[in-house]
Amino acid sequence: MSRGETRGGYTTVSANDVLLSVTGLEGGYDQVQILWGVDLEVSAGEMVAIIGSNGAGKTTFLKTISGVVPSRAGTIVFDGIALEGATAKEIVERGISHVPEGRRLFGPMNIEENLLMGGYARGLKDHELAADLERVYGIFPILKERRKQLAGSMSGGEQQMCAIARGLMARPRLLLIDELSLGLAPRLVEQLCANLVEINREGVAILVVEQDVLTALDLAERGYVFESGRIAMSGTSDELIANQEVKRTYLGI
Amino acid sequence: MIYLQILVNSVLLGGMYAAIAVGFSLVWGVMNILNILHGTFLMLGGYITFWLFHLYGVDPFLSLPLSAVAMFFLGYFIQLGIINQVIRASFFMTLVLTFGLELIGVKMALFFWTGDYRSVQTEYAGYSFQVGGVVIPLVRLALFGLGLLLTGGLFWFMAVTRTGRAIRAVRIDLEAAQLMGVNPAKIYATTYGISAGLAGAAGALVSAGFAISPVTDVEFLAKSFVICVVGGLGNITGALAGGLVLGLVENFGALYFGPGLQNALGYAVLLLVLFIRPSGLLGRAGYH
Repeated sequence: MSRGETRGGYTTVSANDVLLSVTGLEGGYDQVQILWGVDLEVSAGEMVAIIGSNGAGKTTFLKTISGVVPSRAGTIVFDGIALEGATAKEIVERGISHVPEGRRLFGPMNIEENLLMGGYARGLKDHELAADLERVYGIFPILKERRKQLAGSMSGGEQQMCAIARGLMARPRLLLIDELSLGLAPRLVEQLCANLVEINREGVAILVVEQDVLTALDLAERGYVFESGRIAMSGTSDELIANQEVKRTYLGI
Repeated sequence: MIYLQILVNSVLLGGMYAAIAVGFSLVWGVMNILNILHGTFLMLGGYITFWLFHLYGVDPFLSLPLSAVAMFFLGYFIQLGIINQVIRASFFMTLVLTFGLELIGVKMALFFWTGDYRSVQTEYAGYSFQVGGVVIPLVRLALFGLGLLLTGGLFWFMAVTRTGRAIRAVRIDLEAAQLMGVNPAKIYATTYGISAGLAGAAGALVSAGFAISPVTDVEFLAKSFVICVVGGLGNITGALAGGLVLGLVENFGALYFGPGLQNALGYAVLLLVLFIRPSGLLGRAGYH
């Protein structure tokens, strides 16, 4: 981890607090390399945003962290342990939960079955997960009302709630969320952001990919800007919002 | 009265047919494998039952769980060690692979056990009772009941258990299931093992009522195929419906056209269903 210590950027985080530390990460699919050396850190209990245009490698980055896309070079250290060679299953078990782009709920299953799938990695029986179901129903009461409804038949906002709740059922220490607001009405996005703040307050670190830059930087304490598979910029949300290039490229002002 | 008798015979046969086909349907629905080995598992399950009865006098209904467990493990390791290697390849790759394995299995069975037809002759094989003039053979009734039990058991397993849910999840969205911590290789092996175990149990049932030989495996495979396509691919109630339809077609067909055309009529119904309702009688895609 010598590279991590010498790397500059921000200094507010002490080494002990670092939950996820990514260094020089390269990866992609078959013949196409998408990530070209990504360095990124998330501290315990922190909320961090990733912004960037389509095709910048945000989704691939999250998939590489959660182990469904293999990395080619670089290191991913979670809670002091390198994730090199770890399978998707082992990564969930260690406490990283991934809410994928497009929700990817199990449409023909009902909400409760989807949530129970979220707790799958913990290897518990259904009744042992009952307390956790109640916990996520506490955050998203609408899911409790509709728990026997098929996930595929719900509105986009409810599906996103279900996807986040499903992610929480794994009892993660880090929640990866890909495209929180895509296709959702502003009122719903506000509601979801409030939910995330609540989840974050309970000590779950969140790394959120979000195409709406204002929403992202409003929600998170810090942000990273992805460009062509590299980190183009990083800083606190205030710094990024004030940055001329961010303004010009992503806010159109 | 003859019609009622044939109707009862058909339904009793249909229950057993459902158990024969349901594992085949599971593997096809979840992994998109046309599993040519299915009949071989049935045949091997039947032989386990036959030899246990012949050598040690074990009742076929007692050796059924043993056949099921033995075939579960055989299937589990075949999937884990062999079929998983080409699971992402084309449909025809897995078809050819299971065909090759089927040839190995059947030729070995022919080598060791010869092609003679064997049957289990229990003391109670000829027992029957009458209800309102309809003769109900005891063994056929047991085959029907156990066939329904196996089919219903799979339905329950898929709907309620943690592993059943994971099998459905892998079928619906493989990558999302992986994100939940599901190991696809193990789930595929388990699915295939369950299918083989059900085939082993069904093979034990068949051998309790019918003569078997290594080459009967093709007959089982053909019936499974017809039942699954007629009932609707990849769903459990479809296997039940398909089993009943095949039982009816075979028995009434034998009455009107003679027993020689039984199998041909099964395929005629298959073609008819494909023309009229290509998704099968209860067709829905996959185990949802």
